[in-house]
This record gives sequence, C-alpha cells and structure tokens, in this order.
Amino acid sequence: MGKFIGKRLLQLVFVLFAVSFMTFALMYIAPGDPAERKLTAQGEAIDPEVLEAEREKMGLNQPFVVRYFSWLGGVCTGNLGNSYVDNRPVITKLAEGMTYTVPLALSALAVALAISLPLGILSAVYRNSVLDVIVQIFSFIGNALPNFLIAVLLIFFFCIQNSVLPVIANNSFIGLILPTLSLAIPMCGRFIKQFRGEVIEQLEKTYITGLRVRGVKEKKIIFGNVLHNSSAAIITITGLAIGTLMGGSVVIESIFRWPGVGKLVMDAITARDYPVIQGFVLVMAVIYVLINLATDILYRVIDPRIDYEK
Amino acid sequence: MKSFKRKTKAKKLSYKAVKIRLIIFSALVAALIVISIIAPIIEPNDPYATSSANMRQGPGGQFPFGTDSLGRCVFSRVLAGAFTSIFSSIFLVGVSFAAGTIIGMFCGYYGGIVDTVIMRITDALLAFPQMVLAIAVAGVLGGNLTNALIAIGITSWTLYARLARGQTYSMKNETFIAALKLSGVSNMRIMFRHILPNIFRPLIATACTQIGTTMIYISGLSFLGLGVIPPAAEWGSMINEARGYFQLTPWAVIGPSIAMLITILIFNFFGDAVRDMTEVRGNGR
Amino acid sequence: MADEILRVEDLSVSYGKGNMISGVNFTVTKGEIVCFLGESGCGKSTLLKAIMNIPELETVITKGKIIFEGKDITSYSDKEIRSMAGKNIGMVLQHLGGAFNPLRTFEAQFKEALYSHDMEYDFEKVKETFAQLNLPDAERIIKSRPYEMSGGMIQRIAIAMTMILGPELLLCDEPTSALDVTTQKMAMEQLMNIRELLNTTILLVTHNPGIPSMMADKVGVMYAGHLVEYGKTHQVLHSPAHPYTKALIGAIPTFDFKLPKGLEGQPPLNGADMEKCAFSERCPICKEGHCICGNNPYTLKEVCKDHCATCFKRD
Repeated sequence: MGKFIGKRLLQLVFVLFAVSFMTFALMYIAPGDPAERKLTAQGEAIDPEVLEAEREKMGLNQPFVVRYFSWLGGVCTGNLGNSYVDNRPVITKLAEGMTYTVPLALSALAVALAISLPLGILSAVYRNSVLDVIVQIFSFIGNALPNFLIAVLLIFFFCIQNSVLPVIANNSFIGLILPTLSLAIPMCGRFIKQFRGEVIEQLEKTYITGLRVRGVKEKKIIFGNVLHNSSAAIITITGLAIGTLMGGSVVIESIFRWPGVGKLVMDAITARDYPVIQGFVLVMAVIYVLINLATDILYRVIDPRIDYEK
Repeated sequence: MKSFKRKTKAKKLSYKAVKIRLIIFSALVAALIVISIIAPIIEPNDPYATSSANMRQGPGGQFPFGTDSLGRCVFSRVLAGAFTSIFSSIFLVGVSFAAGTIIGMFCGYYGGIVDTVIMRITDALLAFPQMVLAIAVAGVLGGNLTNALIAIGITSWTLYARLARGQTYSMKNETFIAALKLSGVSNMRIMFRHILPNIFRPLIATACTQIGTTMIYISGLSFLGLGVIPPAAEWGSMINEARGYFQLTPWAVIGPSIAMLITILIFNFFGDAVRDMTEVRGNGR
Repeated sequence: MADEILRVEDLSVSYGKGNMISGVNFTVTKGEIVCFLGESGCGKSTLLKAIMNIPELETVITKGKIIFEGKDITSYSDKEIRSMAGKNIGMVLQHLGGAFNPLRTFEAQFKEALYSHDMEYDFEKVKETFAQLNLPDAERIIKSRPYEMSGGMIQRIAIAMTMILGPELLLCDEPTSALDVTTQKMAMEQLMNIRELLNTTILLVTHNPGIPSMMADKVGVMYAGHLVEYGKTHQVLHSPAHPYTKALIGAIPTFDFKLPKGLEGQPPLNGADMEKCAFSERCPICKEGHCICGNNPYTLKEVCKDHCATCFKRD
C-alpha cells in the first residue's frame, strides 16, 4: 500500500508538471500579443512606447522556457498573476468564486447520488421489473439531455410558467435549487446506468451463489456483500463525474448568473482576460487530479487484491 | 396437482435481440443522416430569412414549429441545424477515432521512447476535465465551429489511443504475429492488415458510443457562444438565442430541444447496440 | 423407515427447456455417504441443485417429489427453502471462488451466515472446528480475506463453515475437482470426519470413480439424466450390473500401463427425454445384437438386496 501511494505521488508530480506546462502553453495559442491584449482589456490606448514598456514588464521579451519557469515559480507560491480587467490577483478571484461553486457542485453531487444510488441498486436487484424499465427510461433520457437544456426547461416551468423559483440565483438556498437540479439530472442518467451495471456484475459473481446456498439473508447479500464490493467502482465513477460537473458548472452558472468560478471564466472569455482563464483551468485540473488520486487510493483500500480472481 | 412455477433468470444478451436492436437503430441513424443531408430540399422556408411580418408566430400552417423573434422559420432552422450537429459530431468522432487508433497502434507496436512520451501526454490530457479544457481552449482561440471541434478534439483522441495501444500491445506477443515477422512481412503490413482488423471492433464500438456525448459537448459550446456563431443554425445556439424570449416563443426553444433529445437518444441507443453486438460476438458467437 | 432422511421419487428437473434429469428414484439413510458417479453432463450436479432448490440455481422441478425428513420440500415456498439452506441442507460448491466473498474477512462472513439463521457466533467453536480440519492459527485465518488464501485452505474453511452451520444433509458438488491430488485426499478425509463427528448425511457428486471406493456407503451411477444403478458401494463397484457401469469401471485408468477400455461415442444430449434407453447406442450388449432393453428401460429393478439397476443381464 505504501509503495502504491509512493508510486502514485511520483506520478502526480509528473502529471502536475505536464498540466502546468499545457496550461501555460494555452496562452500561446491565443491570437495576438499578450501585452496588447492586456492594455486593450484595461481600456488603454495602444501606444508603441507604452506597449514596449508593458512587454518588458510582463517579461515577454525573455525566452519561452524562462518565462514558463518564472510563471511556474509564481504558481508554486500561489501567484497565478493578476486579472487584465481589474488587476486583482487571479487566485483571490478564483477563491471568491469557489465559495459559490463548491456548494453548488457538492449539492448537485449529493442530489445525484441520493437519487442514483437507490434507483441504480433497486433496478439491478429487480432486473427486468416494471421499476427497472421506468428507471432505465429515466436514465436514458437523463443521459441524452444536455445540462443547459434542462436548465432552460426548468426555468420555463418553475419561473416563467409558475414563478415558484427565481431565475437569477441570488445566493440563497432557494436560488440553489434550479442550478443544482440542472447539474444533477444529467449526472443521474449516467450514474444510474453505471451503478446498475456494476451491481449486476457483482450479483452475477459466483460467490453470490455460495452465500445463497448458505442461506445468508437477501438483505445481507445486497448490503453486506454486493454493495461492499461495488463501492470501489462507485467511488471511481463518482470521482470521474466531478470532472464533468466542473465543465457543467460553467454552463449552469452562466445561465443562472451564479457568481462562481464558472461564471468568472465565461466573463473572462468575453473580456479576453487570459490569466483568469489560465488560472481557472489550472486550478480545476489540480483539483480533479487530486480527487482521482484520492479515489484510486480508496479503491485500493476497499479492494486490495492485485491479481486475484478470474 | 401442485404447480412448479418458477421463473428462470433472464439470460445474458441474446444475439438475435441485439441484432434486431442494431438494425432498428442503424436504420434510425441512417434516416437522421439522410434528413440532415436533404435538409435544404425539404425545408419549407429559408432558415435564414428574417421577416418582421412573420415575427413570433405560433406553430402551424406555413411554419410547423412557428417562427422566432426575428421571424425565421423554426422548423427550417431545426432541419438546417441537424446537418451541423450530426455531421460535426460524426466528423469529430471519426477524426479522433482514426488519429487515436493509428497513434495508439504505433505506440503499442513499437514501444520505446515515443510510446512513453505519447502515453505521458495522454496522462496529462486526461488530468484535465474534458469540458473545462474545451471551454478554455475554445474561449482562448475565439468562438467558431472549427475552434470548438479543435477544443474537444484535443482530449477525445486519447480514449482511442489508449485502447488501441493496450490491444496492440497484447496482440503483438501472439504467435501468429511472430510468425508473420519471421516470414518477412513488413511492420506496416502487419499493423494494418493483421493487427488493425483484430482490434477494430472494440474501438469502433467505443467510437459509436461517443457520438451522442460529443453532440452534447458541441452544442454546449455553441450554447455558450463558443461554437457555431449565429445566425448559422445549430441547436445549442438556437436554444441560447431563443431562451430570452421563452415566454413569448416557447416553440423556438422546444423545437430544437426535442430534435436534440431525439437525436442524442437515437445515437446513444445505436452506440449501446453496437457495443452489445461486439460483446455478444466476443462471447464466441 | 425411521432413519430415512431423504427420499427422491420420480424426480424430473429442467433449467427451463428440456429435462436435464428424469424419473430419478432413491432413498438415503441418515448418516450415509452417497456418491453419484457419471460423465460430465449426465445430470449429477443438477440432481444436487434440485435438492438444494434455491431459486438462484435456476432448477425447475417438473415432476416428482423430494422428501426430506418426512416433508415434501418441493412444495415449499422460496422463502422456506431459503431458511432451510445452509442450516438443514448445506452445499459445498465446485468452484473455489464461489464459496466466499473475496473482499470480506472470514469472520464477517461466518457471522453473516450464522446470524442469518439466528445462531450465535462463538469463536471457540470456530477454533475447535478449524482444529478438527487441521486448520492451524484460527485467530489469523478468521481475520484474513479469501484472496489471501490458497484453494485448499478456502475449501477447508468452506467445509468448516458448513460444519458450524451443522446441516443434517450436506451436498458436495465435485468439491475436490479444483484441488490437487494431495489436498483432494485431505478434503475427502475431512468429509468423512464430518460424518463421524456430526452424523451428517453426505451426498457427493464426482466424476472420479476412485472416490466412492474410498469413502462412500452407497453409489449411484447416472447416465444421460437417468439413475441407472444404485446400491452398496462394494456391490456396485465390484459386481456392476448395468452395462454402462461396467464400462465406466473399466475406464478407470490404472497404473499398470494398460489403456482403459473406453466407450465409443458420446452420450445423447436429450437423454433425459428419450423414450428408449439413452445408452442403447453405445451399449456393448445392444451392439452385439443381444438387446435386452425392455419396455421400461428406466425402472430400477432389484439385482440383489440393496442393489438396483435399470438394466442388467443375469449371468
């Protein structure tokens, strides 16, 4: 186990290095000169002298590698640069956004799991029953609905038709309901399909026959054995879904004007505020990598086999 | 006389049922493709013609799905958008599949430093949440369909590359490949004539399951204004344009929404059927 | 009979389509070890599954009765069958992977099984049982997980589990086929131990004709879904009556470098539903033209006391 974690940490260092490099390179696929973009974003007139001074200040006259490592040095100390628009540190802006994005993402994840886990398990246990068919139809539709479509439909039914809930999500519990549902429903579609498949796979394992032959109660078979053994896969599936959730939150936050990092990055894209975009991608990737590392380790804790079982 | 009723458990996928499913959904996919190709012919109105006289008309008569706030025929625009949505998804999946498969096959077959480097690159790309990277890349490059496809394509090839690499790697050590090498068959020929046909099925099945997802990604970027630029018709951007007037012209949102839901459902079912087919075949049928 | 524990009457079993076994009749006395012999596919495992009869084994009893301790268990509901499983009728499965959940400790799995039958978990009893089965260091074993154990260990722990549940009838479906020769012998000795210690009746299925001679009181020979011969071990093995049994005993490989006299051909797949004798195609007597098949090829007739066969030629 220690050896495994050590190996994964080594891998982590490499992946983070590559991620930082790619994020830095992202700036260089953008058309135009960064100094010019910065000055334009701040609404200053483009004067060749000012531009040259800005270029020097931003270190654009140095070679790529030097710039990368000086940027990386900043990143390691928590300095992601300043926004072109208001000159505030990117890290501060992202931290502010996170206080909105994290509750939204967690509530969406919680809702999705609260719906999908029982439905996925029930439809696997009562396979081919009426319940299973209904749950599967729900799952197929959830899978085929993009989150923005759900958001638009939810706004129509709850805000425009019935004005039960507010369209623009002010930072309140009520405001959180629609964005949460918009993110959770497509996630449910996928979770149910994957959880159901996982539980069915476990139910078909030979050891289940062994338990039944011994007269172990059905409840104990499902909760004690099937769930225990499939929890490793369920954790991995959930970890991977967080990546989708991060992308989805950009769309949903823009629709509901939820002031999280997703809306921040969309505003940054409109304003061509590249350090914010860069910081957003880097922070999301780092979080995602760390979550996946954690799920990998959890998987090993639950299922410590290496080459056992055919 | 007592009865001996007992249900026998449903057996695993039956070949016949999967085959019927595959035929039905292949036919539906074909129908969608045909509709999107002949869209310019069957459109009842010009999808781009604005008209102040026909603004915000309800469904019926000349405009089956009504008109939007610029007086454009929603039905014609949904048809015109079908081509963009379906073909951009199929094109992107096709290119990622081809590129990923070839790269993965070379990596698996030759191994060595190139293999290590490419696999580490895929590791790094997989570290990014796909949609997050796509939004950032499309946002930096500037919104248009080509950039949206590039933004999604950056990560989508890795799926096929990893799969193809793994399959090729295990195939490489089989005796018949060794025999081919000994008899002086060139590496290219071994790869494309002998390995590729053997690893093709799981790869194509994966590709088919990805079409629906890709469609969701592309329309998501278009919805954000990072894909297809209005006035060009695309379902995601149509929904975005019309949502501001949802109360006035709900049909302008509902039309593309339903088209999108049905199309993605059909492609998802088709992908599942192809995947199940390879599984059933894989069981020695 | 007072000490009769199991009586199978005219039993036919299918998995949903055609019958796998049909018209099987036999009785077992308490404390006996009965061994069923036959080629793979002859229905011997199906017979055990039908006696167990929990729904997940997918057996469908199409005809006949199974009388266990005086009650016809074929009329039991699935719930009643489940509550009997393990406690009254135990089963040791063929596949080693099938015995335990590979990811949970043996302790958890012992407790789970015992609590399911409202029994107490008593570590001292587990330790004692382990000792009887030559399993040292019960403290360590009980805390470990199946994937850390060898096949022979798992099988012995599985036998220990059944002993602790203490069923009156134990069904063993080729319990040794996945083990190597030395562990096989040990496992067999342990089954005999169980009988001695707990007076458990054991039904054992095997395709190895060497096993019954070692431990069984009675032997049943099955062919293509029919029980063709049933009787005391030494009578069936040393003076077989049915032509198939004769051929089967002749097919045992010996160490004197003589090739076994194998049978030509394959058993019919739908043997259980055949009108005429399913063995007639391969029967040496029929081939020689001295066919003795009667009108009821599947009725067991008494050869002598405690020895029946469906078809035999009196010398």
